[in-house]
Amino acid sequence: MENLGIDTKLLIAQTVNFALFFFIFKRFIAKPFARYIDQEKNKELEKEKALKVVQEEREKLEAKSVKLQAQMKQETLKVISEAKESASKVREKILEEATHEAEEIRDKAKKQAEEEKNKVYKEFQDKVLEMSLVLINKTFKDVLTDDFKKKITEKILKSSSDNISIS
Amino acid sequence: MKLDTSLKEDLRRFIRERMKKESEKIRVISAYKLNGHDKDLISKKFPLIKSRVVVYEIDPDLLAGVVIKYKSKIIDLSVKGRFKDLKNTLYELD
Repeated sequence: MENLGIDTKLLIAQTVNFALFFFIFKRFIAKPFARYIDQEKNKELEKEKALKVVQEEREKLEAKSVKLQAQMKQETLKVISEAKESASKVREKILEEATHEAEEIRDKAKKQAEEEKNKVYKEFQDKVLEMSLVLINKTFKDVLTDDFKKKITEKILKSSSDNISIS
Repeated sequence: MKLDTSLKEDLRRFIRERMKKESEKIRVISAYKLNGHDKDLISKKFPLIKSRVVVYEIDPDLLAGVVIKYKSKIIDLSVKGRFKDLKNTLYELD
C-alpha cells in the first residue's frame, strides 16, 4: 500500500473524518434542511391553494360584475326609452297647442284686418260722398241762374200735392 | 225801479200778444226773390198762407225750391233739403 502512495493512517483518518462528517451532516444539517425544504414546499402548496381560491373568487366576482353591468345597461336603456317616449308625447302636445294658438291668432288677425279694411272702405266711401255732395252743391251754386232756380222751384211745387196742411 | 202792477200786466199782455203774432206768422224762405206767380203757386199748395201773415226770406244756400216754416212745423221743398235726404239715404246704404 505504501508503494501505491496510499497512507493507511491518513486513509483511516479520512474515512473516520468522512464518517463523522456524514453522521453530523445527516443528523444536524440534512434533516433540518430537508424539514426546512418540506416546510417551504408546504408553504408553496398552501400559497398556490390560496392563490387558486383567490383566483376563483375573482373570476366569480368578475362574472357577477359583468352580469350587473349588463343589467344596468338594460335598465338604463329602458329608462332612456321611457324618457324619450314621454318627451315625444310632451313635444307633440306642445306642438298641438302652439298650432292651435297660432291658428287662433291668425284667425283673429284676419278678422281684425277685415274689419279694419271695411272700416277704412266705409270711411273712404263717406268721404267721397261728402266731397261729391259738396262739389255738386258748389257747382249748382255757381251754375244755377235765377231763371233756372225759378223753373226748378215751379217744378217742385207743381209736383207736390195740392192743399198741404201745415197746421 | 219798481213798476206799477197794472203796467206790468200790460207789458206782459203785450209781449204775449206779440209772441202769438210771431208764432202765427208763416215764413217762406226761397233761394231767390219770389214773384207774384210763385207766391200764387205756393198759396195754391198751402191754403193756410192766405189767412196768415207771411214773411218772405231769401237764402241762396237753398239753391232752388222753398222752405215753409209755421210754428214748429217745417216743410222743406228745397234742393238743399233733397240733397240732405239723398246724403242720408246714401249713408244708410251698405
